[in-house]
Amino acid sequence: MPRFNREVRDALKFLLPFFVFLGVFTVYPIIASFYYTLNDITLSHLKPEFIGIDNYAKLFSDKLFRQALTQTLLYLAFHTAVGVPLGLGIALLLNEEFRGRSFARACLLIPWSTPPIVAALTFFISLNPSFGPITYALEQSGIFPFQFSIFGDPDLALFGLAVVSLWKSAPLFAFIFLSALQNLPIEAVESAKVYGASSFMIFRKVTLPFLKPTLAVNCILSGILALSGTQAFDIVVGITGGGPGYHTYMLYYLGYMTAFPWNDLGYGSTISYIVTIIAVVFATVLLKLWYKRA
Amino acid sequence: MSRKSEEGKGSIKRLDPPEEERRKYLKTVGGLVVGLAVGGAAGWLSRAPETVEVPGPTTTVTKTVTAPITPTPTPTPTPTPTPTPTTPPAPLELNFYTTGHSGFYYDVGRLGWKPIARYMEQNPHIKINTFVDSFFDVYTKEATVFAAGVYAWDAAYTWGAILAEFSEHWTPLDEMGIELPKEVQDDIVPYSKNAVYWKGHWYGLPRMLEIFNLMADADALDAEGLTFPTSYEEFLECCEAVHDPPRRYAFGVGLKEGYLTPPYLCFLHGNGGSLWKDDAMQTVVPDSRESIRAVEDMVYVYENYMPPAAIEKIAFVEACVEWWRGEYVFGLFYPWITMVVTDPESKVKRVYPWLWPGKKGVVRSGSEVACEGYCIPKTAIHKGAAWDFIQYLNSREVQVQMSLNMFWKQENEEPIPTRWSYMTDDRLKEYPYNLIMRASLAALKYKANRYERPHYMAYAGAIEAEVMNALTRKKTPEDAMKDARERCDEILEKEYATYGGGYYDPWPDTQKYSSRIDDLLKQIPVEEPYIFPE
Repeated sequence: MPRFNREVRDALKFLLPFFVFLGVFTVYPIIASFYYTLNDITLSHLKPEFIGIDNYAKLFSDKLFRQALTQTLLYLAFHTAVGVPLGLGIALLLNEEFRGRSFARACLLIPWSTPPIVAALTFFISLNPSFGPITYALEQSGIFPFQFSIFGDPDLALFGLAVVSLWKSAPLFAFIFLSALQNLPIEAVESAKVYGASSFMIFRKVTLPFLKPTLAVNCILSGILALSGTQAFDIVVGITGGGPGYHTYMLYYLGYMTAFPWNDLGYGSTISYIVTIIAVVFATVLLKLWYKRA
Repeated sequence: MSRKSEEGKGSIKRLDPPEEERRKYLKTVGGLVVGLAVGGAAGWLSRAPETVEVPGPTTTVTKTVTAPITPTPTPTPTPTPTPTPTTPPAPLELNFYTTGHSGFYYDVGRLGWKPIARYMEQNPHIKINTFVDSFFDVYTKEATVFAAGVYAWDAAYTWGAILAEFSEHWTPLDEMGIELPKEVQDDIVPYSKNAVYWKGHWYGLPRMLEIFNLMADADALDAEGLTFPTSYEEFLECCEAVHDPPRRYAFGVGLKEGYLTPPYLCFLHGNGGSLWKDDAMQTVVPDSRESIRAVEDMVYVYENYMPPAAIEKIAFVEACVEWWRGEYVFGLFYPWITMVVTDPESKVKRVYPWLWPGKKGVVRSGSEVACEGYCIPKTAIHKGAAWDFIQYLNSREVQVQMSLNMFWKQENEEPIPTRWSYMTDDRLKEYPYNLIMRASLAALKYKANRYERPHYMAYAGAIEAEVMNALTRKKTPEDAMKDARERCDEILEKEYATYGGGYYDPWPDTQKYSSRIDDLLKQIPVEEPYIFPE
C-alpha cells in the first residue's frame, strides 16, 4: 500500500467525487456498451446473449450502415474543409482594426451559444417551404422555385444540415484562431513589412505557419463536432429526422435509431463504437501529419 | 513593486491556509458530506414501503362489474353484509403517464370538462400526478424506463406496438385476479382491443379509437357540381376538377416520415392489399403488387394534386391550418378535422366526411386506424387504484366527453369512443359529431389494420424511408419497396426469434360486428346532403 503525504491525501479527497462521477457516467458506459456490442440485447429483453463479433460482421452487409458511413464522411469533410477556413477568414477580419469590432466579436458568440436544437428549429422554420421567411424571400426574388424544400430534397438535405452546423461551428473556430492571432509576434510582421512583403506574403509566410498548431486543433475539433452527438445529432433530429429517405442518416443518428426506436441495443452500440473509432483515427492522422511537418 | 508583491503574498496566504485551518475546513466539509449521506440514507429507509397493492381476487372481481365497466348495469341482488365501521381510505398518489396529443386527458380540453380534477374530487384521498410527453417521445421514454426496471407510473399510456414489444413489463389483468366480463369484451371495438390485449391477456382498457376518412370541403365540391367520390378513379376526377394551385390544392395530407405509414396503409388497403401475409411469421410484404401500386398512386397524387411542401409536414397535424384556410378541397386524416365547421373563423363552412375510396372493382374502401389505451406497468405501486382509475377513464361519461372535446387543432386531437355502446350516445348524435361518428363507423366495415406488432417501429421506419425515396423520385416505387422488403425481412427474422408470431389481427373480429355497425349507423340521424353511399 503506497503511503501518501497529507497534501496528496487531501488532493485525493477533493478529487474523489470527480473520479466517482467519471467512473459512473463515462468509464462504466464505455465498458458496458462495448460489452453490449458482443451481445444480442434489446431494451425489452435485457438478458444479453453472447454472439461474439456478429454485430461487427453485420456492419459489412448492412446497406444502411454503408450509406450512413458515406454520408458521415462527406459531412465531416465538408464541415472541416469549409468550416475551418471560414473560421480563419472571420478571425483575420476581426483581428483588423475597424469601427464596431467589439460589437462584431460579441455577435459572433450568438451562434455558438445557441443550443443546437434551437439552432436546428430556427433553420427548420426559416427555411420551411410553406411558411419560412427565408424561403419566401428567396421565392419572391426568383431564386427559389415555389415551395422549394432544401431539407425535403434528397440531394440537398445533407448539404443543408452541414450549413446549419457550420453556422454554429465557424464562430468557435474563429474565436480560437483569434486568440492565437492576438499572440502573433508583431516584430515578425513589422520586419516582413520593412522588407516589402505584401499582405498575402505576410499571411502565407508569417501568419499561417504561426497558426499551424491552432489549425490542427480546429481541424480535430471540427471532426469531433461533425461526428459527435453534442451538435450534429440535435441538428438531424430537429430538422430532418434522418430523411428524406435515409439521405441524412449519419452514424451517430443511425446508432441511436437502432438502439432505441428499433430496439437493438447491441447493434446500436456497435455502430456507436465505429463512430468513436473514426473520431480517433481522424484525430490521430491529423496529429501525425502535423508532427511530421513540424 | 514591493507593494504589489505584498498584495500577491497576501492573496496566496488566504488561498493556502495553515495546516490547522485546512484540516478544520476538511473536517467541516467532510462532516457535511457524511451528514447529508446519513440523512439521505435515513430518509430512504424511512420512506413508504414500495409494496405492490394487489387486491384479493374476490374484491377485485367485484370491482370489475362496477358501473364504469359494465355497459348496461343490471344490479343483481346480493346479500347485504353486516355493516362494519369503515375507516377512511389511506391517501395515495397515482402517477399517470399520458400523451400530449390528447389534451383532454390532462385537463386542457376545449370545453373545460376536466376528467382528472373530477376524479380527484370524487376520490379525495387520491392525488393524481400527471406526466405528459409528445407522442413521438413516449416510445423511447417507456422503453428506457422499462429497461431500467424502476417505478415511474401506476397507469401509463400504451398502444399496440409498445404493449407487444414490452409485454413483459406490463401487468396482465388476470395476474391481478381481474377477469374482464364477457359483455365488456364484446363491447370493445376489436381495433381498440389491440391497444391493450396481447397473446390472450388483457392489460388494461382502451382510451381512444380513430380511423382515417376522406374529408371534403363541401362547398368547393358542390360549386363544381361534384358528388362525393365513391371510387379512387372518381376521386382523381374530382381532384382534376377542383385543383387550382397555388390558390387551392385538390388534396392535402402530410407526407413527412414519422407518420407516413397511415396514409400509405390507406392507399394499400384501397388497392385491396395487406401489409402482412397470413403465414406463421405474419411476413411483412411491402413489395406486394398492391403495395407497389399504392406507392405509385401516392407519387401520382403528390405530384399532381398536392403542394410540394407536403413532404415536410407530419400527418395532417401540420396541414390543419391550410385546411382551415380552405387551401385544400380534400383531406385524408382522422375525422376530427371536420370540426373546422364549428370555428366561425374557418374558411371551410361545411365538410363531407366519408369513406376513403378504393379502386373500382377491387374494394369499396379501406383505411387506417389508431388506437391507444392505458395499462399498468409491472413496477406500479398502486395497481388496484390504477385499475379503478383506468376503468373511470373508459367509462361512458369520460369517453363521450372526450369525443365532445374534439376540435380541428392538433392539441384537441380527440377521437371517438372505444366501445360500441357509447357510440350512439345522444350527445354524439348532434351535428357535426353525427357526421364524424357515421363516417368512422362506416370506415370500420372495411380493412383498416395498422399491423401493430413487436417491431412495428422498425418496420414503419423501413417502409416510410422507402416510400419517401419513391415520392422524391430517388427510386422507382418498385425498387423502393423491394428495398423495404429486404430490410423488413431482417427485422422479421429477429422478431420471430424473440416473439414467435401469432400477433392479433383485429380485422376478422371486426367483420363479425358488421350487422351491429349497420344498426348503429341507423341510430345516428343524418340529413341530406350528408348521406353518402356506403
